[in-house]
Amino acid sequence: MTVNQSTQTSKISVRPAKRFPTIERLKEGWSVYKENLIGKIGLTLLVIFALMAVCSFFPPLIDPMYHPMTGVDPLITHSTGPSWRHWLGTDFIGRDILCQLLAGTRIAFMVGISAAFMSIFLGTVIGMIAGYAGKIADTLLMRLADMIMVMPTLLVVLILSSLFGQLNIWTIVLLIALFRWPGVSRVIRAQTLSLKERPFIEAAKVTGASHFRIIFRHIMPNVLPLSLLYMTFRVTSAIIIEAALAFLGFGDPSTVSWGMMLQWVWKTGHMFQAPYWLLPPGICISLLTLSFYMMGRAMEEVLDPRLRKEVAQE
Amino acid sequence: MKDPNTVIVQLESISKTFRTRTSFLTGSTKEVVALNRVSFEIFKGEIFGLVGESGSGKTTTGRLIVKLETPDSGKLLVDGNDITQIKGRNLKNFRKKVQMIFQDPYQSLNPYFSVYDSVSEPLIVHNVGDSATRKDRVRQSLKDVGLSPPDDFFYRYPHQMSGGQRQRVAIARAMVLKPEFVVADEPTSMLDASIAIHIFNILSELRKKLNVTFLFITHSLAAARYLCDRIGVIYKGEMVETGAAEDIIQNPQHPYTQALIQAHPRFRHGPILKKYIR
Repeated sequence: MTVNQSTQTSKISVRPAKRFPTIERLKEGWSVYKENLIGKIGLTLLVIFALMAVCSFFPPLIDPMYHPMTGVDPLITHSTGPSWRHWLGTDFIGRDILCQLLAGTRIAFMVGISAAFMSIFLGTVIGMIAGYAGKIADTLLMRLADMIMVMPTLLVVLILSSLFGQLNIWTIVLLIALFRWPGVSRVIRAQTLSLKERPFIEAAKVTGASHFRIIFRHIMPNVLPLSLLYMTFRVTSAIIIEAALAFLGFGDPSTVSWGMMLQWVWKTGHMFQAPYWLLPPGICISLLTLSFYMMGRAMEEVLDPRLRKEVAQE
Repeated sequence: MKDPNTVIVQLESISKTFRTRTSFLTGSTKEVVALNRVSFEIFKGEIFGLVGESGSGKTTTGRLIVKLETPDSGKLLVDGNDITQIKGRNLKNFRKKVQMIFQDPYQSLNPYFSVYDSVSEPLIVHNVGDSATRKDRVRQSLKDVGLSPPDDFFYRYPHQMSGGQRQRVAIARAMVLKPEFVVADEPTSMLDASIAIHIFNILSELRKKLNVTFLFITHSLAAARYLCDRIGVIYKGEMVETGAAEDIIQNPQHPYTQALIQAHPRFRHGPILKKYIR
């Protein structure tokens, strides 16, 4: 009898005991994602930009003249085109454009991801609370969301920065986050509304679980994939807003961002004289936002099976 | 085991009406009477079957008893205490004593929760024991519902199990706190007949073992007869007949009960078989 039991248990232990749904889901999602051409292009672009952002740390180490902000080539007095010394040329006081571009990548990632993360966090929490609580809390939060949603973000940030002088880059990030959560919270609220009628939420209620537990333990894992999807779209809009702000001269003057580079081109009158200076930041802004957008579209397909291409049709 | 003298759940002329707003502009509402002055009581240790057609209010009755809904009027006594208005600490104590098994095992388990997460959740919510005792309780509960070896199921997720297994997990979750009273809302309607019998046997064994009282909600008189001590027949929100299971089946008084029994398919193999055997 005992021998029998021990053989049984040993047989069982061979089977994979621990399986995580998150990892399995990710694997499953990846298999759908990698079939998507747009998603692959977006991811490739993103990897290239990530490498650029990492590379931005090296040029100032090679020679202080390659510092994007303070490094000035002593031999150059005006903007020059690409050369071996400056691969993408220099700006009007002899700073290297490639170094500025690389530093701008880092800023774009920082602004985009942190603003998107904050707005997603706010949007998800507010959306879940509004959807779950219902009644007055729902009405209040959603009307607040409507009010913020109709405000033109760029204009409000412009007014604020003209009132308070030059804004710090983190203040800009925070402002973007504060103005971009309502879209997310509407989606998350809708999702929560349908989730809270599902029997497993009722089962948790019957168990005696607190509202806090139900929201963060039961509802959150179910809406998180959707918020992550929205994060990619929010990254795009945050980068564009920051670039527009910087181009209009309201950026953080102590950082080099792509929008700031464009503003320097414009202000020094090189708009049509120096395409080597104008094009790189413009192209980079477009491509980076495009890459996040493409990834978002591909992730949408992963999350929503209805968008998937039919392989075999009846 | 069965104690016909102690009433555990008592409904006193419970009414519940659902209102749906039909028009946004006029704000006119449509009323659906789910329960109309329903009264009955359930004795400690028995399995009480609530039988009725779709929309008759049987599920609403179950949801009222576990306090997923509140009645519009009437009294609902559990263990002698009126639960229609309880809140806070009392509600939490009540939740510990009364559990529910849901109809659809595909919907009643969180897809992101492993079996262990689902079954241990009531213990965590009610702060029962430390992690080692919780593990033992979960293990015991899974054994009770016939999922063995239990450790093998700990880290499975709902999508990796069959319907019958999921429903057993749902039963284990309801039973892990050793509740006094459990509402089983058509626990087998999503499962096929052979598994349904397993589930019935699990329920009646659990009753013997843990001395739980069940409210068994079903649309099938046959299932009610198989499992229940007493049956209540509900029709359009009104309780039309209650009594011992055998009495109701053999000697139905109300025309609706008679119609229900008549509606059961019969197989008149007897006479035909006789012909062939002869």
